[in-house]
Amino acid sequence: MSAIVSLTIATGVGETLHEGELAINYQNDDAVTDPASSPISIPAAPALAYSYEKYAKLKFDGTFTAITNVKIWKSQGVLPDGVNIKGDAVEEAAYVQPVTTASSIALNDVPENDTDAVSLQPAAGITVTGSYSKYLVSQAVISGGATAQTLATQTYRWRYDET
Amino acid sequence: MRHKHWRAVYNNGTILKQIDGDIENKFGDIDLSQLNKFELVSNNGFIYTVLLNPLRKLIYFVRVTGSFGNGENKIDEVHHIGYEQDGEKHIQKIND
Repeated sequence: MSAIVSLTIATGVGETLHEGELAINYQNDDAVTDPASSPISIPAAPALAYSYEKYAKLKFDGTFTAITNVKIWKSQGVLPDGVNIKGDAVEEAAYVQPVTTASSIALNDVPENDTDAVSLQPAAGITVTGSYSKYLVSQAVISGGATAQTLATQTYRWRYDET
Repeated sequence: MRHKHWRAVYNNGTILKQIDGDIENKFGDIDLSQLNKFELVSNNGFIYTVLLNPLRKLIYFVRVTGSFGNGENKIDEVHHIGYEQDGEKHIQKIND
């Protein structure tokens, strides 16, 4: 065996953890449900619309001594005109209820290569099974006048070093 | 399940295996001060060996890369094995 990594998404006031998720759904709901049930309305230009912030972190189970160098980036998927995904990292303790207004955390475009990847390495380190990375706080930003559509699947890639 | 596991051989000839029957030892369980050589053993029997001495500092970690969002669950694991001596790192990358 070795470390076992999985995706956890947090929602709500009290940081409800949804373990073993397979995707981050950008939607007009603080939830992990099908985004088709809660679409984001496109505003008139020049206004912007926002998905709820999504707090996502990696969980490390299994057997290991230390996990270091945890990073994440968007590796595949083309965003249509008028749609951006912003994302930055915060420590777990910085969790606050996600908002559907402009995020004060997710300010930069999610990087699209490993060189510029967002570091999810927590300051306290990861040495105990069941520990988490930092949160990636991300948010879809929709420009006024964007074309209505279902956003094509985007792929996030993560990486870490294990001993 | 990985296809390669480490084996630590001490100066007195004793061996600590990562997988020893039902027991899995951690890399942190290795007494690096008494290490004679560090081996990465493949399930097919092939062995990668790093010979150590007081001037050589062991380097070993597994770089794990994966993804989500695309419906795949493929994980790539690359063993980084080697040593550092006189400020120079000598590392070989071996796919699991």
